[in-house]
Amino acid sequence: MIVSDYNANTALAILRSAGYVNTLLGSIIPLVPILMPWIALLLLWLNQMIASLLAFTAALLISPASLTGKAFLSIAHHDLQAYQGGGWDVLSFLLAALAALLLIFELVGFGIRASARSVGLAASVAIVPIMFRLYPLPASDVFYTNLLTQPWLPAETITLTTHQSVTGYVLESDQDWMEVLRAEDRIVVQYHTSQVSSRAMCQIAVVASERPLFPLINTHSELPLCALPPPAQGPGGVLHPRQVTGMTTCQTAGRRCE
Amino acid sequence: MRVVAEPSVPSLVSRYLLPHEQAVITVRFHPARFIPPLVTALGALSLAIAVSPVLRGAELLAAWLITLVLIINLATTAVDWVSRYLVVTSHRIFIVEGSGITLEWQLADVKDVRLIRSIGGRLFGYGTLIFGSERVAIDSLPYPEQLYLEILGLLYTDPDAHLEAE
Repeated sequence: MIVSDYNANTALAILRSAGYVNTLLGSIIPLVPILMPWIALLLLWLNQMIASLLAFTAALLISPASLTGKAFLSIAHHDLQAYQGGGWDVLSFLLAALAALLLIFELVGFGIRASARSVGLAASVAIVPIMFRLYPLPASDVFYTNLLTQPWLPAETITLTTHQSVTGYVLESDQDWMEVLRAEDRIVVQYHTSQVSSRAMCQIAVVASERPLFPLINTHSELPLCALPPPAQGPGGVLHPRQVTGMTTCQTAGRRCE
Repeated sequence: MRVVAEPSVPSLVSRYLLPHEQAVITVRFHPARFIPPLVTALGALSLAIAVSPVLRGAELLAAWLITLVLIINLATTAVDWVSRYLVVTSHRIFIVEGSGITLEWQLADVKDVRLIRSIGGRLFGYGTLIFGSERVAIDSLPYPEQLYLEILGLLYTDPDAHLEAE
């Protein structure tokens, strides 16, 4: 529904074209990296230390961060230089020393599992503010809204025989027809393959910048950014695609409208 | 030697004793139970003080909220410790808390008691008693050897004791 811009007709058209399983997986899989840091934090508070550690590692590697690793380190360095704790430094140090001493007792008396839990819980005081900066809360930030509205399919620029370009996501394609979810207005349209002169993959600008804090592969994609022209309208030489959803719904389940 | 940690039976315990029942052992759990929540609360407080100058807004609020929750956890542990006893009577063994009796066995049903002492237990003076085939463990018990012997003494009474008394 988010991908279809809350248009039930479009959502049904996507479901029919892409298939139930693909749509379900396609809806869930993009959520995993987004929610991974918060899942890791939840696991930490639920005393699942190993799972939490793995989830945090995965979050660093796959979750889209609002800052790059370099920018984050730069901010941390700047904060450290500007840090002036005053008299509180001494208190903080004394408390930390006392906690460290007790931690040794805990390690001896209660084992590594309990000690790791204590350290993890205490560290969450610093982890949560860092997460607020790197991974803004999904419910309140446009960062995730932009990300979630992108379908799981690669964006493409489709050039028609009239030299008109359409940016969208190809839901289904066969020898005769191609179903495209248009990026700009989220309407599913059909083009006859004879109307299509070329197809090229491209990258929606908002998604291009969303990278994890520590990407495993540091090379940037060479895909060009997609152009998002206004919806094709008007008479003359402009081709009229079959509009499947939107103001005029002419597609019914199982057959194409004539 | 009979272990009686309290000079008299606490009122919390006595309200659960039958008229003909005699409390043999009444002990609080070992204060080593405070160590994990204490480490967490102190560590969190130390970190919160350290990072506060560079945080603002929701970040600062979140850091102090977590610290507050961990301090409340420590306070809860303290309240729990004050009002929690292991009680061994002439008829049964039970753990009593402010909310009531949380664990109870009849002495006649206890067939097997084992004592385990970890390195930390030996260091700080606490142990774990494991009861019966259900392997229910009660940890952080102070004076573990004395408790163990006292409970065994209740389970296996000397058959010749009454003859000697006569």
